[in-house]
Amino acid sequence: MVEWTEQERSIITGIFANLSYEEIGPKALVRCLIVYPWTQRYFSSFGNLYNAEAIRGNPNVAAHGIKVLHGLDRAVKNMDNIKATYAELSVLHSEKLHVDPDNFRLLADCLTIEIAAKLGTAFTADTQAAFQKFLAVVVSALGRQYH
Amino acid sequence: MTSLSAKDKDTVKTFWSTVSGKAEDMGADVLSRMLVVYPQTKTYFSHWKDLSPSSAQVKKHGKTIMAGVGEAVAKMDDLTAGLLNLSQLHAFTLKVDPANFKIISHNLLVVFAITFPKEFTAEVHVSMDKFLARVAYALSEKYR
Repeated sequence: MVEWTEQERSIITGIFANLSYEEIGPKALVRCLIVYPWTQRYFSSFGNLYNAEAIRGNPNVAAHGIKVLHGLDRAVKNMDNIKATYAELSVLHSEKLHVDPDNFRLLADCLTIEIAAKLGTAFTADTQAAFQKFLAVVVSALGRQYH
Repeated sequence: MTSLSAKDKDTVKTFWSTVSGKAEDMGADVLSRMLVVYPQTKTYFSHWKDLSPSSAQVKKHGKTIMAGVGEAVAKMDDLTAGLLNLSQLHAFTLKVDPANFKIISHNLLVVFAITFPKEFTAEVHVSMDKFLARVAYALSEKYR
């Protein structure tokens, strides 16, 4: 069971309470597709991903980025039971979407960078530690049902 | 390991010239952040009294690290030869587990994003990420 301090809980809920999903979601996914281009393999149905400009302007990417970010809401609401909360999503990513779980870590890193850019110096070391711990738990839960 | 394209090198050089003015402050931030977010890295600094961001030792060492990155930027065309001394230092004297190079690279990227959010675009990010991976590789050369 993951132990969360009061400070960590407050940091995580705080970040998501003040988050613009429409802004950060697309940015995080766009960054992931550009910085780690092999992640594009899962989005062949999205249309034009030929270059950075195309990726940035692609409405399917933007919509999906928002969807993925909202997917984290469940974890924020159930911080004491993220593993169970994401069991179904894990099965989906494994059995239906066939996503290599290493990609979860890559997207998580890109999300961290976007949050850091947004919060600036407010993204203190303690904030970074809590946020990365949260994402690590999410990433682990999403990979849990793979076999 | 992907090699750096001409575009990557150009991007890194341009970005570094933009950010190097704040190198000292960023270096202290990178190091102090790493010590908090990845506490296992503290094991390399057990001989320091104060590991807080305001510590003189942290600030000085952050500056040293950034100078190293600057040196790597200057010697980008042959990192293995250019960073030979640093590799020997990390391998034989410091004996830093090379897994930590990824950790410090990540924190460098985070601090770039915090300090230069507009300039640290995805395109700059990918070139810097590749560059830092090459630097880590060069630093690991003399390990075994």
